[in-house]
Amino acid sequence: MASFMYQGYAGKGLYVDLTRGTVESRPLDCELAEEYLGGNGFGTRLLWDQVGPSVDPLSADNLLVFAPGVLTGTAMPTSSRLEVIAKSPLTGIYGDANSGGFLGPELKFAGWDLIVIRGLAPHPVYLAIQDGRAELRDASHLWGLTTSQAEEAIRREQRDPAVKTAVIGPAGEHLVRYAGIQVTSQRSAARCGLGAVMGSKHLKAIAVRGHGPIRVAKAARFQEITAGFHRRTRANAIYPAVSAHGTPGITALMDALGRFPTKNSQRGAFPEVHRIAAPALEARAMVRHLACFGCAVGCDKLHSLPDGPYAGTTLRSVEYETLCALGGGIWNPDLDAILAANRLCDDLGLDTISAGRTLSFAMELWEEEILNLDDTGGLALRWGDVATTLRLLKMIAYRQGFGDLLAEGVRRAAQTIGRGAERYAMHVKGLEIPGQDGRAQRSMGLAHVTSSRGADHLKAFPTIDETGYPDEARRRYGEQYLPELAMPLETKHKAMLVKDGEEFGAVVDSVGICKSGGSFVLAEIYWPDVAAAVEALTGMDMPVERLKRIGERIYNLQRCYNAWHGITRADDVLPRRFAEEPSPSGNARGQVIDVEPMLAEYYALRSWDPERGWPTPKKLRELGLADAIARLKLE
Amino acid sequence: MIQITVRYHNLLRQTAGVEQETIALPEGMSLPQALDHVAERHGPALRQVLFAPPDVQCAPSGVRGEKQPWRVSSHLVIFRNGQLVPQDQRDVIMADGDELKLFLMISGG
Repeated sequence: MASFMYQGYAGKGLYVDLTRGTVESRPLDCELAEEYLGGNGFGTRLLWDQVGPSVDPLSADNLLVFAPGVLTGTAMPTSSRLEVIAKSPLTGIYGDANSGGFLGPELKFAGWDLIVIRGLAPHPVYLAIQDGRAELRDASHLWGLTTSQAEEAIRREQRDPAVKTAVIGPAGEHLVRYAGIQVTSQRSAARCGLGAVMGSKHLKAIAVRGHGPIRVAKAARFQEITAGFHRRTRANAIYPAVSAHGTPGITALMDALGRFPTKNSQRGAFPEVHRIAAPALEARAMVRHLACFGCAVGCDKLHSLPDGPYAGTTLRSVEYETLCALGGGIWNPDLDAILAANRLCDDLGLDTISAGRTLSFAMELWEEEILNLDDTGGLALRWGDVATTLRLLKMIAYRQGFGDLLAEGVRRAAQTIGRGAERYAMHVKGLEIPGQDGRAQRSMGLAHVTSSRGADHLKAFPTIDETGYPDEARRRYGEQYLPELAMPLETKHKAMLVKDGEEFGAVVDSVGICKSGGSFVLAEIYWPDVAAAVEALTGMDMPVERLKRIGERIYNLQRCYNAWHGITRADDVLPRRFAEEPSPSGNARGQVIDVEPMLAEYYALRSWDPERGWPTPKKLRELGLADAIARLKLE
Repeated sequence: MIQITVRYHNLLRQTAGVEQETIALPEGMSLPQALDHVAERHGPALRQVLFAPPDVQCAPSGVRGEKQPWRVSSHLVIFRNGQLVPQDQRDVIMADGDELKLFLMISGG
């Protein structure tokens, strides 16, 4: 929109009231762009402004925000990303999920900086967007379809094979608390149960087609910058392995580190890992390399099973996390079955991480004889039982029998089961712990407890010390932090690493670039690069210090949101297993983790109250968040 | 002489052309010298990923004297008998029966 002060933005948002059946275009607030950039920042601010503690996440009053970043859809490498933000029905606090693919760029091409959805439709609908036009359409005929069926039906209906969609499956419709959203094609905005938020609103899908341009303030400068980023990405020393293997390429390495959660985190390594790691996956099912919009890395791959009981199963985006959660996590070495379960989760609209971790939780309860046949409706939950796994995933998605309990996630399920089940519930703040183990990588243990959406590796994403990136550590932070900063079992400097990662990550998720691309996994693109790109694209004056302040503002506001919902330092804890049971595995053998010293250092670096772990009035004023002082009754 | 087992992972497996091998080394050889021996067996392509020239910032473990002052690449991840070898402790002396796992650096999940 030519009238908006900054380029790179469409200058307008789409506001949808499902109760009233209205769609409305509103101008983008200039101050919102200046202080929060886009994507994650937009969603955080809107949630803070409009969704208070009394709002049930599965009610009409919860907000659901789809927001590409300001760089999404441009020549910036890996600029495919789309943020989805709502209060999470799984955790009851701040929730977000992020997806690559092509939908984010398509929204920008259609001329929208964000979609804000609230209310409850009286019957199933989907939101159809064609450039500047948007309307709600009946989706009664789509309700009950799997995600792939619904996506295909919408394409046929729109007579446009290039339409991009965000779709929920049966799991979202049945309000499974870790239902995800499938994004064209076969990417997922999976975590925090945001698919259930869509389902609770009777919103089956969003379908977008756009043809417009994204205007650039300083075109020659932006082209020079982004071309340089592409060159640097390809020259990066970590690029060849990431590009060749994608995230499955780390499987054997994480196993060797003892950082591959196995048997519900009883272990950090899987003796059968060679049967499910990248070489096995590539030999068995690799078809070809793929990439999301604008990506020079291309970690995405197309896989298909040529024969066997699941012959014809085709899927892309087989991730390390899924190999871990549905492989070692449940003691399952059957690669074909993992791929079948992965495809099933995609079709049903389930987060593979939370689904796999919930199954491993249930299997350990069975092993410990906390659950019996009466509890499970006659199902024996033996480790690695593939048939039971596939059956339970369907029962979860449709909330049938014992699946109804597991659809609640490990925290709620443990509370319902009782009998000591809580000890085996591997979560932080209600979000199931993904494929890391703080006993093997100290910074990840800290990252799991400080993440604003509950146990998560991607908020801070401390890759620097995962295996040791000394060159990258030196380049980003300086020689004075080595060697400890790059060593996975050291605690020194890790609070600084996590804090910086959370703030840089908040910016990365607000500008719409990929963490598996240049910013974290390759550790190539950093603060000055993003600042230069935003400035050239938008024309906004963006010195590095201003960008850092934006990142810190967003992360502090997420903490304020969680504080508003009663979260304190007492919630920043790992399950007891990690502190009490020494890891038996790999490089982490004999290790436990005590996050407290790192956490104390982290609060001090953040200038947060060490008692409650809340931002202080001084910090909030410094960040332009003075409104939080009154709301949190800090003075 | 001693015998060690070397296991190659990710792109190193393709470059070496083998998944694992057992090799004989003279006693008293350091880890960088063992890798130099491995590079000699498999040719320049593997050498280029195992070692980095000294103008690239990398670990301080020099090999092959002044004539070929390449150093073990800082983008190589090495496990010796299941334990990660820190980048500043790579001058360790190899022992009979040692197992090395070699990865080209990668991270992400």
